[in-house]
Amino acid sequence: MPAGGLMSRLRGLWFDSRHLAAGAPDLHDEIAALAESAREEMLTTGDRLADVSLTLAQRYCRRAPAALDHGIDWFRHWVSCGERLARVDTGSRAAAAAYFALEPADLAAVPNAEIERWIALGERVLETSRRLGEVFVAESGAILGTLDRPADRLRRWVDEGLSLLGKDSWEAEILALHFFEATGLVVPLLMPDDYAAWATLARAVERLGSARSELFASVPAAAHALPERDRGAALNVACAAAASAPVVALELYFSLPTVLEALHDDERDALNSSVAPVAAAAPFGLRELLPVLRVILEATPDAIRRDVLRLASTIALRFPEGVVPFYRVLPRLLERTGLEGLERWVERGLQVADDSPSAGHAFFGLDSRTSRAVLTTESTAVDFVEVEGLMRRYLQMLTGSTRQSGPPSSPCSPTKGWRVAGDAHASYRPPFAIDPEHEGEAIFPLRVDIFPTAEANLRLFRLVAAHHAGRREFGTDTMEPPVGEFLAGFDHPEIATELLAIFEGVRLDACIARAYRGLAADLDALGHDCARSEIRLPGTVEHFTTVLRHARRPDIVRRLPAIAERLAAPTATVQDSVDATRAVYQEVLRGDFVRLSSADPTGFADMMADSEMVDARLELDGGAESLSGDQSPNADPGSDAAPIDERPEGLELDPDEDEGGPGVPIDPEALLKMLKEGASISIKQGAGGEHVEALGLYISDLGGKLPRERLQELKAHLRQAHSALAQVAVGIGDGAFVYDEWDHTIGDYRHAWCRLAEIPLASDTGEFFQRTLAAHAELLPEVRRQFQQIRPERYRIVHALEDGEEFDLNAVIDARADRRAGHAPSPKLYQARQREERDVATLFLIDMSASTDEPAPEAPERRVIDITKEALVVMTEALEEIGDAYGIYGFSGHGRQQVELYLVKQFNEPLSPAIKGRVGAIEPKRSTRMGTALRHAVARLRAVGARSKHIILLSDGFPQDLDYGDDRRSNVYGIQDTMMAFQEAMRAGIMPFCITVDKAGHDYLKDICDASRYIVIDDITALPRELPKIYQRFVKP
Amino acid sequence: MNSPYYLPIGDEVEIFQTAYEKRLPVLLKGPTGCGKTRFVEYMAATLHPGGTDAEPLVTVACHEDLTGSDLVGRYLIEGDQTVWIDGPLTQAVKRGAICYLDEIVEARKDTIVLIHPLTDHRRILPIDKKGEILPAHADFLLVISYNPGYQSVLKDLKQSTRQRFVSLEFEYPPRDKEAQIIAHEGPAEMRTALELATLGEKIRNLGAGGLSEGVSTRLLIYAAQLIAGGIAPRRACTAAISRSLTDDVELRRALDEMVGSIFP
Repeated sequence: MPAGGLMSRLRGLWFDSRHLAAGAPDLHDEIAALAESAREEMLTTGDRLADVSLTLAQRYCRRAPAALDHGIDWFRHWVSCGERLARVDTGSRAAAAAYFALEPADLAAVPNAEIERWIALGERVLETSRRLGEVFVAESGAILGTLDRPADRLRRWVDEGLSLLGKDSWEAEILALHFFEATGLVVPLLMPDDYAAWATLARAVERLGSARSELFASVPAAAHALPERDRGAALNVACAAAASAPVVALELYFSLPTVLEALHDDERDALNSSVAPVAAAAPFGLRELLPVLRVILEATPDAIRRDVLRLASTIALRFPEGVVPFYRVLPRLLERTGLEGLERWVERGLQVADDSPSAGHAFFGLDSRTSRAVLTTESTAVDFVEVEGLMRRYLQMLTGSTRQSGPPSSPCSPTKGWRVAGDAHASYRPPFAIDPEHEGEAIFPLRVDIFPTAEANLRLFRLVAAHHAGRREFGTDTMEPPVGEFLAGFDHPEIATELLAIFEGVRLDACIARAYRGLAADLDALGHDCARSEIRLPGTVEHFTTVLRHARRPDIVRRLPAIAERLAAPTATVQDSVDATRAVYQEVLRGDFVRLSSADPTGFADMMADSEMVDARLELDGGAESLSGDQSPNADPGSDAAPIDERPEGLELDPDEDEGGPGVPIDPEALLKMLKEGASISIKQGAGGEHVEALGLYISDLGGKLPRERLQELKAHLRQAHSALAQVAVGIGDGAFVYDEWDHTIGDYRHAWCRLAEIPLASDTGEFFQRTLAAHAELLPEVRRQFQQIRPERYRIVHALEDGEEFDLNAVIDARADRRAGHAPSPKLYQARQREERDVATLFLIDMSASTDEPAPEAPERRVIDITKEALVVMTEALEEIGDAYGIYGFSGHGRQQVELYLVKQFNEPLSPAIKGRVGAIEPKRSTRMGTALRHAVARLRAVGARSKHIILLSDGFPQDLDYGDDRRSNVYGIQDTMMAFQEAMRAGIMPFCITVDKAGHDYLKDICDASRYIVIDDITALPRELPKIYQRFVKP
Repeated sequence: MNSPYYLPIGDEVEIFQTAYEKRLPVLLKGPTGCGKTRFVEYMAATLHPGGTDAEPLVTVACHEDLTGSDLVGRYLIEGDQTVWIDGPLTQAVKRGAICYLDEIVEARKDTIVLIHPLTDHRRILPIDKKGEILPAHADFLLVISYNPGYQSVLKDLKQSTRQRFVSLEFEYPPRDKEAQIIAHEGPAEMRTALELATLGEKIRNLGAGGLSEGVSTRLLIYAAQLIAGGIAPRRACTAAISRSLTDDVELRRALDEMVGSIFP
C-alpha cells in the first residue's frame, strides 16, 4: 500500500490530469454531485487502481459515477471484479481497463454470480494471453446483458477459442485473436454446441488470407431470421466444405441462411441434407449454385418443394456431384414433368451415375441424350422444337403448292414456303401478318402443357397449324381492305386484332371442320378437353364471353351466339368476320351507340342494334345483377364450362366497382389485358390447379445478395437456367445447325452441344486460282489424262453368266464337252457387257484452323493452307473432267457454340468464276472441331442423291478446340468425338477419308479410323499431285 | 379383251388415237402411279392392234440391267442345238402389238439405241445376232414412258431418243377426277374417295420438302380397297400410304398427322 503522501501525489497524476475528462465532459460535475462518503470511496479506489495504471484509474473513474448509481455494494463488487482482472499479472491491466470501459448499467443487469464466473473466464483467458484477455473482456462484456446464462455460453466459447491456440505459433495467435474479436457477433447467434463448428470454420477460413475478414467482421444477415437450430445446421453444412474448400465454406456460411430463410421450417433440413454431402464431396460446384438456389427454390411450387428437396437429398447421398446440376436444371425439369416423372428421372440418373460419375453429371445437367430421352418419356408437354419439323411439313401439306392441279393461271396463289417459329407469347389464335415481311410465317406457342396427355397437347399444335393454313385456304388473305389497313383504321388496333382473330377463328374452325373430318373431331375433342379441365383458350368465343361478363356487358354476350352461328355458316366469308369485328368493336368500346353505315350488307350492325337489344338494355337498367348471371340455355355450348362467377386471376377490372351496363364502354387497356389473359399457353395450368410459372429469374430478384463481381457470371448462368427453349429457338436460326457431340467420358452424346453456322465465303479476284493453274501447268494435263481414263461408259465383258446377251463360246464348248463326257454341264453359258457407271458425290472438308497459317516445312515460302488450296484447284480441274459431283466446305470455329462452316462450293453449284474466287479466299481462321464439321458434312451429303458418297477431310493436325473436352491439354475427347463422327458417317453410307499433312498423324488417326481410311502425306508440297491420285484410288463409283 | 377402266383427264385419248393412226411412237411422261400403264392398257384394248384375237399389248418393265438381248431375243441351248427365242420387242414387232417400254430411262443406254430404227419411217428392228432386219407389222406401235421427277441428271432421256416421240404429259388427276377413279377402283363410297383424293393432294403438296414423289393414285386406291375390306380408314391410310411412302420417321409422323386430320 502506498503511503498517504504518495497517494495524494498519485491522485494528482490521475485525477487532476486533463486527460481524465477527455470524452466525458460532464465527469467533474457528476463527481461533484456525489455524496461525500461515496466520493471519498470512489477516489480511494481510484488511487488504488492508479497504483496499477494511471489509465486504468481514469477509465474506472469515467464509469464510477454510473456504477455508484447501482448502490455502494454493487459498486464495490464492480470494483473488485475489475481489480481481479487487473491482478492477474502485470500485463492484464489492459483487460481491466476494457472492463471498466463497459457500461455499468449493462453489467448491473447480470446477476453478480454470473459476473464473477465471467470474470473467472476472463482471468483464464488472461493467463493464456493478455491481448486475448483484453479482447475477450471487451467483446463479451458488451453482450453479457443480452445473453441467457452468459457464463455457461462464454465458457464454451472460451474453450473453443483457447483450443485454437493449440500450436504455439503466431498464426494460431492471430486466429485466436480474430476468434475473440468475433465474440460479440457469434456468441449470441449460435448455440454453444455449434461454437466448435464455428471454430472449425474460422480455422479453415483463416487460410484464405484477405477473404477471412468477412467471416470475423460480419454474420449472415438472414441468419437472424432463422431459429437457432437452423443457424447451427447451416453452419455445419458450411463446415463440411471447410477442410477441402474454405472459399466455398465461407460462401455457404453467408448464403445458405439466405436460401433457408425462403423455405418452410420443414423444408430446411431437407435442403441441408441435400447440400451437406455436396459440400464435403464436391464443394466447388456449389459456387455456381448458391447465388441462384434461392430463386430456383422459390420458383418451385410450394406443394412439391419438400419432395423435390427430398429427391435432392437422395441424389446427395448416392451421387453428390449430381446435386448442383440437378438444382440448376430443376426449373426446366418442372416445366417438362411432374413429381412422379421427376422421381423416375432421378432414379435413372442415379443408375447412370453408378456406372460412370461423369455420365451421371451430364445426366443430371440434362446434357446427355439419355437424360433427355428419359425426361421426354416422362413429359406430357409438347415443345415447339420437338414438333417444328412436323408442323412445317404439315403446313406445307395443307397449303403447299398444288403444282399438279390446274393451269398455272389458277387462282390458287403460288405457294410461299412456311417459316415456322415458336413464340413464348403466341396464343391459340396466331396474330395476323400485317407486315408483308411476316407473310408465310406461322407462329406457334413455344410449348403446350395444358392438357394431361401429350396427344391432347399435340392436338393443339395441329389445330394452330390448321388455322394458319385455313387463313390461306379459306380466304382470310383475300380480305378487303388488307388486314393491316383494316386494323390501322381503329383507335385500338390491338383490340381489333384480337376481335378479328376471334371471329375469323370461328369462321375458320367451321370451314376446317367441314373440309376435314379428322380436324373436326380434333376440334370437338379440344372443346371437350377444355370443358373438362375448365380451360378457356384466349381467342375463342368462350373466352371472349367470359371477358364480356366480367366487364358487365351481357348485352354483347347475348349477341355472340348469333354472330358465331352466322360466321360458322358455309356461306360466311372473311368479309363477315370483318364486319362482325367492326360491329362488336364499336359496341364494346363506345358508350353511346352509333349505328354503322347502312352499307353494311351482312347486317351485323343491325344485329347489334335490333330491338331485342334495346329491350335488353332497358331491362338491364333496372337489374344488372340479375342479368349478369343470366344465360340463355342453348346459346353457347362451350360456355357451359365457364362458371359465370369465376374470374380469371389477376384481373384488374372488378365487377363490383365497375357498374358497367349495356353500352358502357370498357376501358380499352383493361379489355386488351383480359383478352390476352392467359394468352401464354406455354405455362402449365394443368388440371391439378398447380401453376408452375416459367422460371422468372431476374437479376433484380437477387439484388444485394451478390458480390458485384459475380453479377456477370450469374447473368450467364441465368440465361442458361432460364429457358432452354429460348436457347434452342435462338439456336436454330437461318444457317445455324445444332449437333450432338460424343463425350467419351460419359459414354453418351451431349445433347445439342454444338452450334454450327454456315458462312458464305466472299470470293477473291480469282487470281489465286489462275495462278495455281499456271504454276501447275505441267501437272494438269497429266491429271486430266488420268481422270479421262476413269471416265464412265466403259464396258467390260463378264463371262460365265446364266443369262446374258450372247453365248460365251468357251463356256458353251465346255458344256458340250461335259455333256459328251456324261457330266452335268454348267448352266453359265452366257456373257454380257457390263457398264461401269459413276454416280459419285464427294465432299471436300478443309481444315481452316489457325495452324494452317504456318509455313510448310518443305516449302517455307508457302503456307500449309496455300498448298491445300493449290491441291483443291488441281482437284477441281480433274473432277470437272470426270463429271463427279463434288462440294467444298471449309471449317473452323471457336468453342462449341461457334463452329463455323465456310461454303466454298456446294454440290449444285457449277465451277463458276465466283467459286474459283472462293477457293482463293480460303484463309486460316481458328480452331478445329472436327466432329461437328463431319456431322454437318454427313447431313449435307444425305441430301445428295448419289449412289456412292464420300467425304475427304484435309487436315493438318488433330482435332482441337477450346472446350473440346474438359482438359485442354488432352486431345482424347476430340479424337474420340471425331472417331464417333467417322462411324456415324459410315453408318449413313458415306465413306469418310482423312488426308493429313501432319507427320505425327499416325499417332491419333489410327484411333479415329481404320488404317485404310486415312493417309499421312509426308511432303506437303506433293499434295497437289497426290490428292487426285488418292481420289482415284479411294473414291469408288 | 375387256377394256380396263380409264378416266380421261384431258385430250390424251384423242391424241394417242391419232398418233396411232399415223403410227407415231408415243412417249408418256409422268410420276409413278399416275396412270400411265393403265392408259396404255386402255388404249391397246380400245385400238386392238394386230387383230381382235391377238394380245394387243406387250409390256416390258425396264431396269438398269436390261440388255438388248432381253428385248430382242437370244439363243438358248436345247439339246445339241442352239435355238433362237424372240424377245418381247421382237414378238410385238412381228405380231403388230403395242410394245410398251415402261420406265425406259432405267434401261442401259446401249439398249435404248436399239429402238431408234423402229421409231422413224424405217420401222425396222435389226437383229444383230441373227443378221436379220425385221420390218415391223403394220399395226405395231412403240410406246415408252419415263418419269422426269426423280431421275438424276445422269438418267435423263437423250435428245436423240426423246425427239422421236409424240409426248403426252401425265399428272396426278385433279381431286374430283381422282376421287372418281378411286371410287371406281376401290370400290369406295364417294365421300371416302373424295377424302382420299384430298389426302393425295395434300401429300403431294409436300413436293421436294420430303418425298421424292407424291403419293400415287395407285396407293390411294389400295387404301380405298383396304377401307372397303373393313379396315378403319386411318389404319388403312397409314398402312397403304404413309408406311409405303417413306421410312423417315419424322416425315411419316407428318403424313400420319395429315391422315388424322382428314379421317377422324
